[in-house]
Amino acid sequence: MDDSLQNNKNNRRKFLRISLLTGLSAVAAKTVFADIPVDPENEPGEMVTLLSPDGQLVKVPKEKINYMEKYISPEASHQGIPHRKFVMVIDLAKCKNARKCVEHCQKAHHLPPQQEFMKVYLMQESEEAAPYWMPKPCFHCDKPLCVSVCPVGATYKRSDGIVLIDNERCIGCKFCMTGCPYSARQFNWADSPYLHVDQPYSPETSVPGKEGTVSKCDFCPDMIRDGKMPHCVTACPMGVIYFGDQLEDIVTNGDETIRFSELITSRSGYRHLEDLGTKPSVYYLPPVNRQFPVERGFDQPDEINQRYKDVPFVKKMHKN
Amino acid sequence: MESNKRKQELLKEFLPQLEKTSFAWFAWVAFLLIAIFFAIYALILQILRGHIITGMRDNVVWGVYIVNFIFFMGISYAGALVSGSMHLFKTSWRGPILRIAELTTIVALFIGPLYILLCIGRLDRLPFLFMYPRIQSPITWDVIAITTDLFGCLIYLYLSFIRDFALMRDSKDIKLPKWRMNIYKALALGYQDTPTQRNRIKKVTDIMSAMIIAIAIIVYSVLAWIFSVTLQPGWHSTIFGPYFVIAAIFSGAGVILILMRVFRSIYHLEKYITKKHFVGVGMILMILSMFFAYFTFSEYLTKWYGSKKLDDNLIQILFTRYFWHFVFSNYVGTLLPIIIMGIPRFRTINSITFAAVVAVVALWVNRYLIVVPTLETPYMPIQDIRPDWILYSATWIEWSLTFGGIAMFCFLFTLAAKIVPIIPVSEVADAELEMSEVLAHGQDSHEATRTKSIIKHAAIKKEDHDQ
Amino acid sequence: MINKTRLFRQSLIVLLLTIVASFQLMAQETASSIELKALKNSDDSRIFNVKLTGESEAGAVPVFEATVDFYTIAEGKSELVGSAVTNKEGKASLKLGKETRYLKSKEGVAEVKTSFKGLGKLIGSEASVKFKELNLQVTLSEKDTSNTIHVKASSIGPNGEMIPLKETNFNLYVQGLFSKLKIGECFVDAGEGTFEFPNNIPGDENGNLKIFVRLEENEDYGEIEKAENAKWGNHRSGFAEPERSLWSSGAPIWMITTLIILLAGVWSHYIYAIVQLIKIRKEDKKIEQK
Repeated sequence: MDDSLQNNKNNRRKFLRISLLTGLSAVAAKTVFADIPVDPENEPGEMVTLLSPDGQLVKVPKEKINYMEKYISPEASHQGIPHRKFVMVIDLAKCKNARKCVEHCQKAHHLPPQQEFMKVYLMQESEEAAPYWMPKPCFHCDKPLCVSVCPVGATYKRSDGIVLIDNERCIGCKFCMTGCPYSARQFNWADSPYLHVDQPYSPETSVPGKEGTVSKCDFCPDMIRDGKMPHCVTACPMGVIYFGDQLEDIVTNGDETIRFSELITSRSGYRHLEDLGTKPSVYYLPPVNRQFPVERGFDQPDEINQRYKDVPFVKKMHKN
Repeated sequence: MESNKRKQELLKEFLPQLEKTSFAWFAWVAFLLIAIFFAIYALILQILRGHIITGMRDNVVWGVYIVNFIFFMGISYAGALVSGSMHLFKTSWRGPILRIAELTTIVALFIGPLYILLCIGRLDRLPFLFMYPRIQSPITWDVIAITTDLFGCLIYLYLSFIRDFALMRDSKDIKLPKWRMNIYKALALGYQDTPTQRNRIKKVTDIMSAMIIAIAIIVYSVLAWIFSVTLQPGWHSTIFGPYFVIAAIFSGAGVILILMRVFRSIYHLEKYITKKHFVGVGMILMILSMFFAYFTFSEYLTKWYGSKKLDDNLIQILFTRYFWHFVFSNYVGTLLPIIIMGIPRFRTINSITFAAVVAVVALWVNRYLIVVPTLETPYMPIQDIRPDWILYSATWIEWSLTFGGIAMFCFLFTLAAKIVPIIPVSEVADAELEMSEVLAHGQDSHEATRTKSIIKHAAIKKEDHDQ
Repeated sequence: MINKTRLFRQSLIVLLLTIVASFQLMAQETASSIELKALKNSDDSRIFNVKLTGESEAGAVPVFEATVDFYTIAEGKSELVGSAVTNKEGKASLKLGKETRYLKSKEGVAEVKTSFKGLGKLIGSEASVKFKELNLQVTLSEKDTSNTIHVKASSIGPNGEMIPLKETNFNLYVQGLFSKLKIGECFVDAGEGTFEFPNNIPGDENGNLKIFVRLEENEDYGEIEKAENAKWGNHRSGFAEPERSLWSSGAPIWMITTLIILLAGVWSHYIYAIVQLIKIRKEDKKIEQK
């Protein structure tokens, strides 16, 4: 919502919009009527389908961000956004495995279909316990073991609580992957077209990825700097994910803005595997008074549903 | 000098090994080189195509490479520990096996770290380890520890070689090309076996042997801590340091036994490496296998007895998917040395060697069971449909690099045995002399050595004072 | 008879065909729809936000690069006040300063209409908002420990006289990083209302807060907002990263000391060993000299 932004942000956006429009008219001249199917592998940039003012459906490149203007170099990315401490609250009562968070995150970070910074697990603590869907990003722990074990300082904890990876420093020893108890980290096992993106690398965007290095969810600091929330937050149709600054005690899922402390205390928020002492920055609200039955989450392609075949609940479901 | 004459005699006996190269030797080296080049080919493929061509994936991020790393480093530390403690405690029969132990140390120490490099995604950034080190990381500890260990072992090894280099330089019977003789001359460092020089070597070797023992223990504990500092249920264990050290000496003693057996036949060392030596090292093997069994038992007992979900998962997998691996590595591998060494009737050179082979392979499998099943049971359940993402299985790339490493070990050992006598001539001659002196004076051997060393120390002090 | 019925039938078919054809013709055209929201800002300017979408098989698709015009209309009169071009999200906005004169009805109601004329196959559309002028004053006062927000609101009568606002709820917000947090409601009657500001809102690192008083979705006055800055936050000291920890760039002191002691101990022995070897070399030279 434009009107909900601070004035300076408004101005910046306006500036962006103007620069966009000037650039756009040039692009539009070439792309009108050019409804060419796009090869997803060799996509030059993300495309959006729009209506031209004369009623033609056209595909135009999505907002080309002027990366140099906002570029945060790997060195600069060690500094957190001042006076902030970012937290995420995930309301398990609302999640129905719609996977929009996963898809938008993958798109924004140029990830291949199988690689997910945000994963959705089907959790069931015991056979009797109720199963529930659990979206899991990187927890950006306050005591990050992954950072502790890194031999070259390629991954670091910032003052704003975000844990980033500099893939220009990473030697790919994968020690951090064994150090992370939440399986948040992924290795770029091979070169792929997804790693070739024409934009300058910044640890804040994690794009482009690099073969032989580790990558993970980055809490989208590039978006935050622009006054926007991470892609997973804005993508969720259910408003499952709240994001905000713990220091100002405000989190929002886009629709609803609420005090972080109030949300956590009133809904008995918790952190996953608290006893490991890693102090995650991601909190969960327990899956009580659910908005959807858990079965709604199986409204997915087979290759997704197959993932959960070992969960006791699913096994039982198949038996009946 | 009587001892010098004996030494030259002894050296003469071993000279053919250094001078002549048989067809079989070339065939053996050619075979090893083929294996090594095949491994290099696999390595090039891995570098070109990325780690995707290994069996490693996001859950099991380390596979047989890290197993080989632990394995070779273990052998190396074991060599150092065995030779260091034999020297320090003046084991009377150490002579003929010291060099094998020392060469094992240094050769394995060159190969072990190569495997950790194979786990690294970007080899081009290796200098970063030294350019931007973080002291908090156990990998940094390991880099420092291995470098320190390498230097220490090289110095120690050199100290034990110096007298033999001098012997070879002074030998009149030796038939080697001039350049090789020049190398020996340079390496001998002008050692003339004067009492001062001899005492100096003795003193430094004593210090270094103590040093090597300490370093080996610390360095191998550091390697264990790479695993145990993480929160992984199979790794996060306080006994991992000592457990790894014991396992290392266990496997190392096995490798030394195997090498003793091999060189005994090839170089016809029946006179020098006798059953006494096999029983001696075999006893070490047995004691270590008992320690190892004890550590293994207490490690898995506590996991099994407690009811933590993830520990339970791990034990489940070890006793189902990895049942036979587990039985072989932790039952057969520990019990066989105990049975063979424990019952005197079974103690033959061949049976001891067999026990050693089984122990060494079992230890390799044991490390596999420490690394792989743990990574297959992470905290977050693996919810994936890609089979290679769920279960690890090594690809031919990894196997050829594994065998390439073993070939490399054999190759370097073969070369080393061409450069220096496999039996430390000076050491053995001195020991003989000592024994004859002891026999002549009818003294208790232990007392004799003690008196001698006191005299030697006094001599050194006097020399230093004179200067 | 037969001819007649045939003629009738034929004409019926023709008629039907014409209807179908015209439907098809119409179907080729695309309907558009426009949304309009207006907000009166603190500086009494107004911002008009527009979102223009077109119907397609894929659902509502944003229309980009379309010009939308804004008119002030009252009692049949209409004046153009400005126009804007939509972006790729189909959004456009127009800001009109406080000096802008809106046409008003006798009751003092102004109406702003936005219209997209349509082009080619895209059919035009319109939307409008109505509002009355409202004078809104917000003052902040601090007394001891309690902070209070005073809201004064009055509308302007047909003769320019002030009419105090009756029984209206204003929403209070503080600005967060991404959005505004609602902290409560202020009930205004007889033109006045007060609100006790909670003392546990952190604000920014200096305790600064941006407070918004908003009238929302009001039938008569539309959306009105007034912002004030106050240093009423109780911001606690922030998230301090320990200087020397396992995960910081500097290592804990004990770790560095232990490492130095260990390395110094080991390497000094190495140096000692090497020195001894050098001595051996020197002794050899001495022997040769003798």
